[in-house]
Amino acid sequence: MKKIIIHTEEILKQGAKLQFQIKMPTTTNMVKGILITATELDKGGKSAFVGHVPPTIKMFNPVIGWTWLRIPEKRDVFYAEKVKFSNPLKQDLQGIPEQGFSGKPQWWIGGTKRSFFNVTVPMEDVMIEGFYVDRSAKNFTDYKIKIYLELEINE
Amino acid sequence: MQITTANEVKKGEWELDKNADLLFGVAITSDKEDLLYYRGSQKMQINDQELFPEDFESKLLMTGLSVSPNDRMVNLGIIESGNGKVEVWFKDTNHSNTRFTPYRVTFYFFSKVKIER
Repeated sequence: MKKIIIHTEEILKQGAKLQFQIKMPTTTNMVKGILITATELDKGGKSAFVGHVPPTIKMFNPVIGWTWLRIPEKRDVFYAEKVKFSNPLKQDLQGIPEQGFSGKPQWWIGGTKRSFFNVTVPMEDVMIEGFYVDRSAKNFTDYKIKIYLELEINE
Repeated sequence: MQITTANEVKKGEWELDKNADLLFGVAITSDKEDLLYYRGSQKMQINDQELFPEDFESKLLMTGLSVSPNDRMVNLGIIESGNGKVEVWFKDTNHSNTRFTPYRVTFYFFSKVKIER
């Protein structure tokens, strides 16, 4: 049977280095998919982006952090990713102007689709260890990363 | 589903077609996609089997025009639905990049009849 769990970490400081653990259900057989998102934390109406997305985010969507996942004592790092902000307009890696459409960019026209990265990680223990390093260069804003794990569990 | 208040949690329950035996996909759209992208998350289950946990971001179930029409659905695998009832708890959460206005969220559930030979 498939199950999805979500682990969230808040990044509140530029250059932050975090170590965390993700605990899984005891019936977990295998990790089958991984997906990581990064979104700005709501600051009660005050956004570093002030209601719009800076051109650098729109066009290049730079890497804001690095993450690693490992299984302690059994297996070293099995997954690593350079994390980018969820691109608010396009949900792809780089903003590409729409062809043939005029007016304000709309998500429906430029948006794509996120999907889990497929992995096969048999689990004997119930713990995954994670590391995250913030690599945002400037214009730092508090944000959170969410790590989605798609699990195969025994019924 | 109409979202009329900021930060509300709204529950929707729908019965699948009585002829549908298998649920295999889901998709989500909105009339204000920026709001759904930034603010939306949901928990979804069918017949008490969890499909997506609480706080699963709606943006991960959204697909745009750049995606082939045949791939716009999020694949759930094959889930026996029987007389299926789907429940969704949709949560709207403040995000500083959006200003709340009432919006509509539409959930699509793709199912089919199992053919017995």
